[in-house]
Amino acid sequence: MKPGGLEKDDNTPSLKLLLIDYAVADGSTNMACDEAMMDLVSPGCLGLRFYGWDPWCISLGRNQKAPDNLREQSPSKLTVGVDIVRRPTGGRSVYHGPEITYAFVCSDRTLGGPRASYQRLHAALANGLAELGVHLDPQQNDKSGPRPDTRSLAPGPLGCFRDPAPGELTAGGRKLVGSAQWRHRNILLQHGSILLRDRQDQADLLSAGYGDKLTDVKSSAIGLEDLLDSIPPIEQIVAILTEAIVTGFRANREPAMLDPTSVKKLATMYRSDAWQWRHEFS
Amino acid sequence: MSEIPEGLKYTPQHEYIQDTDVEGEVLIGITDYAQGELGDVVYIELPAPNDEFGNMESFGMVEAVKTVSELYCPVAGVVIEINEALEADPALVNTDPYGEGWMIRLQLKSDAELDNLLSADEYRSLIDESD
Repeated sequence: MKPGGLEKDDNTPSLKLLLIDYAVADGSTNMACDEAMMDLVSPGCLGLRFYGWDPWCISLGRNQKAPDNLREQSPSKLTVGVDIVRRPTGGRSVYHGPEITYAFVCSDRTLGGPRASYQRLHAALANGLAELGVHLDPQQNDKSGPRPDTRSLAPGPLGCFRDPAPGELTAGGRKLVGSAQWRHRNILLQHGSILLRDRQDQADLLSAGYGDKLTDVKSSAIGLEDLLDSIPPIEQIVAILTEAIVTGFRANREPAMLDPTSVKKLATMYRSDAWQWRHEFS
Repeated sequence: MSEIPEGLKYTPQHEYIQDTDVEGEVLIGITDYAQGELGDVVYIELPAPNDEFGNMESFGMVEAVKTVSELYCPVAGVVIEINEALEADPALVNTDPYGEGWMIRLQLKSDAELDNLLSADEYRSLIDESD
């Protein structure tokens, strides 16, 4: 596997990148749109969308256990009107407030497997963030050394942004972009949050049900507001990041739309108690 | 370099099928290459004994630090046993994918389906192409 590089042979056929317009939606609809994107792609074809959240939302990882009392207590502890959704991807809780979220889909082997896809997409995003003026920490893509032990990053109570995992985009050692993947029927979905402002302490309120002492844990998240003189308009950020991905994959962009019937059906599933509380424990 | 033992059968989705001492029963897990791609496995969801699966039907899920990946049954059959040790220690998939990291023991519906799977050499070629 090519270790995270963007180099391609001249003979490599062009990829097609389907672009879905930026939109703002609730948690269930956003997860439904991400999953519906997976139906659009085939080998040699990628899909991309950027989006926001209204209302702001806490997302749980697919296999993350949620505290018993989350349903009853979280609305009073969190900002009024905060939504909750469970993602199809792995990892831990994320507070989706002031951020730009991306979703990217491709056929399983189009980019060389989960790890290569992760690295290549992050490399493209890093180029876009650099264009915005963000100075990221250097990426460690050397696979020759021992693999870092990441078992502590299991889907436990703390938020996704508490601990950067290898390959994530950080600045000053703090996580700016948190991402996760789902491989399903030979299609890979990767989505992630690019923080405008760090409000991830809200996600950690979830830990109340676990009896953890959060005061011992320092925030390891960072937002664009900490790294830039001012946060550019969302449409400008989206345009620059989109261009970086188009360039990074040498793709031909093509506008696309999601099937509204499919989105509606999937949103109902993501909204259901059976999905939302699939790992609730007593 | 990923370990690809001879004598096992493989799928393009990186599952392996290993014969057992009992005729018609096989062990299924994910390959050394797959566990390396995923990274540290932190959670595994497996079916229950007596569950029945068709060819390439999803029988479970494995979660590594960043990736949730479906597990596909390479051949049709009935689950005889699951590896319960993985619930307490999913990292066995990383440390010993072909041994203690096996996932399910399956009673085959038909031996003939095994002929459609990849040999070690064929699987190695597939991996080399990906790299």
